[in-house]
Amino acid sequence: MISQLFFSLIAIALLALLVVQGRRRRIWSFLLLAACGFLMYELLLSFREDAFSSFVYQWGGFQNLQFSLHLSGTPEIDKILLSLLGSAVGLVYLNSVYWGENHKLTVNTAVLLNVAAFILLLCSKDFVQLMVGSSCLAILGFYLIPDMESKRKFIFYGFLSEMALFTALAVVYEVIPSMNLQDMEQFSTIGRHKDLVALLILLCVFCQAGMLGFQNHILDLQTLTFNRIMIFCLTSLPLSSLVIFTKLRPLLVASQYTEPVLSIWLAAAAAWCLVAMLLTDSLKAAAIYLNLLFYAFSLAFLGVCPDGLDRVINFFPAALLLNILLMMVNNAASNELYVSRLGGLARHIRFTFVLSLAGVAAFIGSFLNVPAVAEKIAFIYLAVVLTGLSSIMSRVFLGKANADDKVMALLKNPSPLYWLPLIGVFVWLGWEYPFWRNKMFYAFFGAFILLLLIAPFRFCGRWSDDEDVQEADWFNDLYQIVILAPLRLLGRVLWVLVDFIVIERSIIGTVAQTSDFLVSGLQKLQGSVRQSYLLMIALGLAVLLLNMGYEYYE
Amino acid sequence: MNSPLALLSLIVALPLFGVFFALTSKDDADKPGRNAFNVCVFTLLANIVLIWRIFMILDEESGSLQLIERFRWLANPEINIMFGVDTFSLLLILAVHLSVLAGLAGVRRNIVKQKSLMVFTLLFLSMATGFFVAADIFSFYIFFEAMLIPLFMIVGIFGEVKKQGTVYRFFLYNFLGAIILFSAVMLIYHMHGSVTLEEIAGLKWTRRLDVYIWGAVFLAFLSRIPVWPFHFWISSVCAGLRNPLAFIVTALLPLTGIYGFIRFLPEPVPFPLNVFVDWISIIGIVTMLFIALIGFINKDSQYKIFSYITVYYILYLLGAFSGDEMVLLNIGFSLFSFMLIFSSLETLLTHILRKEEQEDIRSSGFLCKTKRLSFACSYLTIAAVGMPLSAIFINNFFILSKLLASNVKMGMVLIFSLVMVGCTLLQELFRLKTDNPACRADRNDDISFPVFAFFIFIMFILLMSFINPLWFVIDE
Repeated sequence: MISQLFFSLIAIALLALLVVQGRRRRIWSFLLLAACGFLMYELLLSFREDAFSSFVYQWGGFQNLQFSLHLSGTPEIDKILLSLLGSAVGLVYLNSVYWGENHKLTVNTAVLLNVAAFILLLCSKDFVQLMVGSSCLAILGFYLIPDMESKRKFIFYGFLSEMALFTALAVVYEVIPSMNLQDMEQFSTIGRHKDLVALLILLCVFCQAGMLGFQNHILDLQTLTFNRIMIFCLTSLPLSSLVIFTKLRPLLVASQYTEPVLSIWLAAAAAWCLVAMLLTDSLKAAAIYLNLLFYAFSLAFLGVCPDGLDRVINFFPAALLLNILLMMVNNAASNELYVSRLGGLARHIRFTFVLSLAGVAAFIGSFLNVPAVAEKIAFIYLAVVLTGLSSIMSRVFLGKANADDKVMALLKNPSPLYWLPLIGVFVWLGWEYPFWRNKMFYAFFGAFILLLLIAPFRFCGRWSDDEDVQEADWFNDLYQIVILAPLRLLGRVLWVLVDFIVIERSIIGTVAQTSDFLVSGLQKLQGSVRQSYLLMIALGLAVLLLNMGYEYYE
Repeated sequence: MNSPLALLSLIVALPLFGVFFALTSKDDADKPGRNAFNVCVFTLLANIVLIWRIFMILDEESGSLQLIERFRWLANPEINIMFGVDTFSLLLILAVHLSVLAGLAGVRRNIVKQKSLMVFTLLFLSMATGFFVAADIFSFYIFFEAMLIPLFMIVGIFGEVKKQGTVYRFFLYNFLGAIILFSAVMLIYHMHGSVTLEEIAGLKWTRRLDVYIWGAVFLAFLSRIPVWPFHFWISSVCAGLRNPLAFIVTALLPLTGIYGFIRFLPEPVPFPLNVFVDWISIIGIVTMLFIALIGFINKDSQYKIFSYITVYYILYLLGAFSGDEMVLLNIGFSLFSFMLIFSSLETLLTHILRKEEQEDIRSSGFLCKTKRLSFACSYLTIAAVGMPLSAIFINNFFILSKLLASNVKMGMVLIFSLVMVGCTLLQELFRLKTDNPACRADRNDDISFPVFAFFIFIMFILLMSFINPLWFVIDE
């Protein structure tokens, strides 16, 4: 079924690309949604019937360069795909109904191709397919971003992550030497450069997931519409980081540094995201920080539950939910993006407020059903997310009204096209995770309500107008100062010093001057003065005599 | 295996026939050089068909030279011209032809000395093909030097910026290389007579001769490769040229140096060669880093392409030093894609630069208004940096893994250089794609549909080469 799904997604996407310039794009968009729904239904059927297909195609190579395309299903893979395809169907639906998206068909096509690339990545059994899947997600992301500056940063980070992965796997291949992912276990026993490989893989994962220090390309997505942010964060490159982290785990655990680096980095990323969420004034930025937090949680979760990728992907609808809630607030408030220009909305759009609370409840419930070993991580994640979210929601719904008359006049609850499916998602989450039976749910939800009412971090709102804080890009500045500026300086020095002074002036100049000197000397000898010719003849004779004398001596 | 119909001689001779037809072609008053251009294109296409045919009859699995052709040149001293080919060399010949074809797409509208350009290009093509099919040391040497004549003329005529200095440097380095190789060839002939390329690696000399001959051979080949300080002549030639075909032909020259190393170097590398190899590896790595850094800061697009070419050529050189058959095969496949990519990119970039100069428009933001160019440039750049859109992706993986195995620290510097040149190309792409109100380019400045179709064909070849490097070979 997976191979059928993969090729169907590509075929549908290609078909959509053919009609993308044509008319009735909205109808095509819904047809695409229907096709996705059908594929998901088929996948569900095969999953229920335990019909796991096997597909291996020897696609490439020459002599001993043979690679295969693996698209075989396992219960775990099918489960993961089911969750992801569910999220993708949700995103396609959202694109189709979202008024702010002008290129519905293009974006929906990108979603389908992203899922296809993810299948490639997830089913990979060798290094090549793994790298191809990851690179495909990077290339597709490149076409999803319309803004050039964001595109530039994205592709640089994508390129960096791909090169890190490429290098790590090249080192591994040189040691084991096998392309097969199953043979990686050997690396921990016979492997050299274990730390280097682990650090390169972590670099790749952090770049893709946008962890602390490597988040610039993700933060730049603020220029995108909400739906694109969601598509990007939940079906594009960051998703690849989770698969790579899981698949290359044997290489990561081979190094003693992996665990401390991972723990410190993820904790720092979570702390930084929390502070940023408290300080930010933009709803889009808040949505992005929530997604980054989700990835930090996912990596931490996978760190303690190595086989937990299916569970992590199962959390995707919940992570998507928070994004949708923020998007709904933004839509309800006439597309107002800044928290400081809203406030007191609970009185005017009560339904949206209630819907948001229900959404938060469903979100909390989704993360309580985790294995005991990951409970601590889930609780920390929930605590951080709820603290940040409560601060934003408190200012938006309960805080002092700062919205202008136009915004207040146009406040409206979302249309049923949004909230009906949303309620469906709540019901599904409630059915999937019966959280009302869990005491912790009441504790977290109660704490959230309390934080919403007390708003202990409302003082952070004083920085909402501070451009230095809101537009601070310390890491970018740091890269410019610490990495780029020295490299540019070094390049210039080498260019001027070595190319011009050493080679042009010294070597070529010396050769030119020497040949000039020889030519001028010969010109003098070849002049009209007879003595010069006599001198030359005498010199020639002397050489001849010397040579003869030497031969006689020998 | 002997060659039916003397196919190898035919692919060397066909461009020479083309030279004759190009020289005698009539010049139209309104389109000067158009007929010569057509002759050149048709000759190239005919040769490509012949090369394809040779691929069909070649045993891909065999590592030795096949389709041997031998011609007596001189009886006393006995000097023969001997041709032979294997998958590696034939792949390079095909790549050279396709690269030149890409360059021709960029000079379609050229009217300045078009006939001369076509004649010298065909001459170069013939000599380059002769070089890659040369199977003995004399044939090798003759074609190694003969290809410099048309190249010298091309650089001299189309070297545009700082012409005199460029030609001087070109002459200086290549002349020295030629003399040095000549002395080595004479010594080899003196000791062992006319030997085939496959025998060279097994020849034995005294220690002193070993040092001298191998030193001379190494220096001669290095003079063609942009390794410090030999990089300077190629950089000054490449940075000065505004003619894509001249640039491509010049940038193909380092390939001959690398090919020379691959053909000459014994495996395993004996003493004292390994000392040379170690030193060249170190100098090569330093050059890579050095050129990558300069390319990163340099604002000239041509220099950026040059830095990309240099870093990759040195990567292939270092891979060639490993002597591993698997790595050599990967180098061949990777080189094929690499040459197609850089020649196509150069042609497209020159189109932009020329428009910038002719119509006084800013090139920054040029790709925002020109969809065909934008697509082609994006694809080729992404493929160039090593994403899975061409054979570079997989083949470089093997080459790098081998280099990392020999020295991980040097390998990391090498990868850093690759990242730097990758960033340099991406930086240039985004400069051209970033919307700039000052850029007055419009749809009319885009490449024409036939040229676009040609580049789509090149992209198709690249993509197919990723799936199977020899996808076009249909076994008989």
